[in-house]
Amino acid sequence: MLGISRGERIFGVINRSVMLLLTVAMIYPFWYLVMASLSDPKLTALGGLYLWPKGFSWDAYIAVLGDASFWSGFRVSVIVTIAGTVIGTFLTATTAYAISKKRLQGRMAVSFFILFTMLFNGGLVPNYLLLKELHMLDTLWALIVPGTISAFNVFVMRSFFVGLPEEVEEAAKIDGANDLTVFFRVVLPLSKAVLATIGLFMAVMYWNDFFSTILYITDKGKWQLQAVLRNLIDHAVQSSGNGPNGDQIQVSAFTVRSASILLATLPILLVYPFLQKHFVKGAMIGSIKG
Amino acid sequence: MTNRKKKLLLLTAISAMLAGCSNSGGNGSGSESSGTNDGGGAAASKPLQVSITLMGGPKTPDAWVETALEEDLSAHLSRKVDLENLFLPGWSDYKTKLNLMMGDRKSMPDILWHSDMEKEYSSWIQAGVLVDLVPHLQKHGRNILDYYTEDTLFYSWDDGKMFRLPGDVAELGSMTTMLRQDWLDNLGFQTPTTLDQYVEVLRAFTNDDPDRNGKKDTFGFVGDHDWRAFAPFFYSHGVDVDQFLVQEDGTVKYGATMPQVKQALKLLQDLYAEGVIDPRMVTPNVSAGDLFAEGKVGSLYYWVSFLNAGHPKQMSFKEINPAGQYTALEPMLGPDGFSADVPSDGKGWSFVSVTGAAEEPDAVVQVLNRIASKETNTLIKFGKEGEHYKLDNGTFVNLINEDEGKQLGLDNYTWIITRKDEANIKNTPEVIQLFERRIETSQPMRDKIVFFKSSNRKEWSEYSAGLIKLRDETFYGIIAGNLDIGAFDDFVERFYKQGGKQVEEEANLLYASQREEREKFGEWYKTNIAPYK
Amino acid sequence: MFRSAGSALPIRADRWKRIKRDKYLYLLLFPGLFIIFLFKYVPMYGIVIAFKEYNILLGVFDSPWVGFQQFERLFRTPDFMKIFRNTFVISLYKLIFGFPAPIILALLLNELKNGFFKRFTQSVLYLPHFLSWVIFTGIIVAFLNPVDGLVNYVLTSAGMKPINFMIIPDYFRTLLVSTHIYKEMGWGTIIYLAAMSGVNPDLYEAARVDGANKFKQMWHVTLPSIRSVILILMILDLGNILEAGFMQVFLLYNPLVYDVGDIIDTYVYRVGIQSANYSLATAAGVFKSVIALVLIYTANKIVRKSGNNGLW
Repeated sequence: MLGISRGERIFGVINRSVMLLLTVAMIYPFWYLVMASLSDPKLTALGGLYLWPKGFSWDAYIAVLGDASFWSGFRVSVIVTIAGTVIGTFLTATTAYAISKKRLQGRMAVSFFILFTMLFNGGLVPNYLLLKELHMLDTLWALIVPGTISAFNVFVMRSFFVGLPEEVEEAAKIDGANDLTVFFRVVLPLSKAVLATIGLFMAVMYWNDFFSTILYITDKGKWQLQAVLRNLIDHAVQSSGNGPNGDQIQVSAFTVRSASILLATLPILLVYPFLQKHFVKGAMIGSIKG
Repeated sequence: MTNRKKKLLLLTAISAMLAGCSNSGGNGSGSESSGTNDGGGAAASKPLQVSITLMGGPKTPDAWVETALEEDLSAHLSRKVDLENLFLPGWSDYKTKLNLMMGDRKSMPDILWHSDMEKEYSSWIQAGVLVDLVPHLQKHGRNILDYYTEDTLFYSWDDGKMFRLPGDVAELGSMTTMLRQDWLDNLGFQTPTTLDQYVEVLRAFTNDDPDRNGKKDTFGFVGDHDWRAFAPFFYSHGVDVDQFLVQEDGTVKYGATMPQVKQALKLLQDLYAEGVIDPRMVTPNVSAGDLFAEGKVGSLYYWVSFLNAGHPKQMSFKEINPAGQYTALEPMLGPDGFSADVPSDGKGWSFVSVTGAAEEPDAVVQVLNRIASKETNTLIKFGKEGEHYKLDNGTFVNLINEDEGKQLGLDNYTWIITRKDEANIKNTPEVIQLFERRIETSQPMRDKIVFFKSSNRKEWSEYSAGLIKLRDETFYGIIAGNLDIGAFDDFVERFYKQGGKQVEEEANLLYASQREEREKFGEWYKTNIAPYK
Repeated sequence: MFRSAGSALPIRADRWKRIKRDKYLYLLLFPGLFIIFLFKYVPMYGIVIAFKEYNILLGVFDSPWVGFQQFERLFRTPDFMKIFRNTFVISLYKLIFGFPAPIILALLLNELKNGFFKRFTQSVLYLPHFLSWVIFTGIIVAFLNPVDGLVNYVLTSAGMKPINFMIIPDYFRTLLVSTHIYKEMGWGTIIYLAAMSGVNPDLYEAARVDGANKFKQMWHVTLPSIRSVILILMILDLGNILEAGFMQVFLLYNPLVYDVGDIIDTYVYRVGIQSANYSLATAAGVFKSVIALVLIYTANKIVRKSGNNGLW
């Protein structure tokens, strides 16, 4: 072990200061919502929120937590996100692993077949008709299954699999393991970092999805949380501004909207800290070296 | 091998879990909708099931209002009525949803709410999926026919048939010039009546500290980011830059190209440069309603309904500015002595249709007709008298707060024939008077504007997006001082080069044919509607 | 033994023999491919409406063919060249400035000692990604607003004149690129951090023994180790070269900056979606995808020629 040099110490200080500044900048939008949600509803939606709430009130949170639509959306989103992430990460891993092997016949064609879907899609109506034929409309399956696999995730995962050291797999094969055993016993345990990454991507994708609800769900009991939220925001933005004719309709206050956004974002934010340990420096190599 | 078995087991377990989940997810509100599919050949004794797409309000499922409306309908139709609410997604997405729903008879709602979908609407008519409402209205439509005027119904008339009814028609004049009366008094000004006086007041509101707080933190004028917000300036010059206007020679011209626009723009440019106009107004991110409440602005051209004491923004305003007072003005007289308020088109901005999916269109029209009654309209919009609101000498007093109103689902059924007359009990007597006065003050401009009925405007749909972009780019550019006033002349030239010529020719043809059609409709109305009122 | 040397089988060996040998790989491949086929390829017939005059009433199959008319209409738009250039320039700036940003940030994060500060910083940096553009632009606008926004509050407190940032064409693209980076930079680090977690710590130790400072360690150890991931993401990003970010632009632009801010997607929105011309919207999508496909294909070829792993 070498001692820490002066240069490294200076670098460390500068680095931490930069990070601290960035942290403040990145937190601010959230803090803004916190300020807005805690302000007195009468005073908000006016500008001039800088550092502290204007007035103080918990009313917005009480309103959101007492809202049945919010909870029903919450439940749907939790189910969809968990199921979609588990299935999706698994399917992405299997597909990516197969096309990461150079010896696979037709690998180029399959890769292109997958890439093509990143660029071209058939549009809304054919997708809707397909799900109708499959009798998936107005079921949670419609929210889960079509999103399980995406070209982007497959390629990212594949690039990680390509980087795995050949020797480990070969050693397993010498011991008589077949491709399936290698994949489940050797490759997956070595790939926690990328599994965590793709898992996180999928979870966030499912959690933030609202468009599937718009396309495939009519029953309000099965709206995803983000669809509930989007309706809330859309409605308020439209009606307070260029409302169709200045009608007095029920619109949630800016405070309530801010509180809804925060409460709807919190659960998915809590996922990351649990996955963080897989991103720690050297985590993977450590497990290989054993 | 054991590994694979394990994984298979895991997969099976996951799918089992999912199946369980999707069932439980449906329990909430799926139970009531299950009945609609197997109701083939319904007899009158059977409960009437009506599915209805809803855009308005808080979209609270299973709310009090649903039960209240069902009970009210059941009582008046003498049979059980079961409503299936299909809540549409928000403003950015409702068209997508409606297009998908209307793609197939099985997924069509019985009552279809739609707005700004003229092209789709005419294709639904062609496909024969909408019900002609005339015979049903003649039997059961008295409330509806009483409420909508002949002029309004004309815009939903399709050569002897009617495939839609307006869901909501704005008051004939629903906007007015508003001014801070307390500021006017502070500065000792008379109520302005001409544009020149008005501008003088706006300048004073900006520069002379009208709220007496010692700070220069006020603006003379603000509004939403749309052209009607500038009505005091354009209308006093006799132009509307969004509309086609009939000229003195009887031809039709796009308002934005008329020479008077240049004068109005020059004035706006000066006012913007002087800081009289709130700079937020030139970007779409402004919400004039919020600025109305904040009370740092002297004048707006805004909704009459905001002057209701019970309007949320008015209440915020009063809370923040206890001594503040907005007053509505007559439209300003322009240099040529013209004045007018913005007229609404009277055709309705959203509509309801009955689709072929409705097994008993007759009964569905009865439902609509009942909704169009004053009692039901009031019930679903304001709740029960005595419980949710009371009337104090004709003034509406809320007994519940906004969140309670949301939970009750008040406004869930808004825009399914929403009445703006005495059924809108929230209006105070003063506001009712203001609305009535706007009918007269908006008339001078109503006489000029051509409100097109036809949805078949080929040239307009081809070129309008580009032309509107050109107009907005130029006009806002001039106002904000990015462009010289001379840019207006370039605009007119480019307008006609980039399709404006075709668009105006089409407008002239349509104007002529529309007048003929209106006469034909008048005849038809006399025999087919008038007797059934 | 023969299994381990899979790729060493004679090239002309019976194809079926090779497929049979890799049967378990195909088994792994199948479920994913099936899902892709069913949910991506089956609906793909919808693309034909780019070559039709789509009529909702007639549906995809029965609408009349019009050949390349929709594309012609798109290219004939008076402003098309300007719109195309705006789209390209905005996304190019986003690529040039936005692509390296998360890499640099990840390198810096990687140098923080494991501990609370690192975990906290990481968790915070990706926060803005979770706000939708509607909310995020709302906050940006409030922040920059000429009357009572925080930035102008600071400017006026310092005795300067307030600036209406939103309406100045010279600032608009900078605004788009910087808010894009602001929102997505932290989120973008995740892939790189995952890749960096695979770097053998011994390599750093060796580099330090050789006297390499932090910067040299990043350059000679960390970056080469994540090169393949960078290249893959670069190729995939090229596919987005005509995606300038519809929601962001749509929510931030205004008539005063149309000149520099109007992009293909906002144009299509105004012309295609608002006036229910779905064929034109689809044609614009196909046009963008074809360009993206050409770019990806070329980039992939270059990457493979240079001896790296491409997408295929």
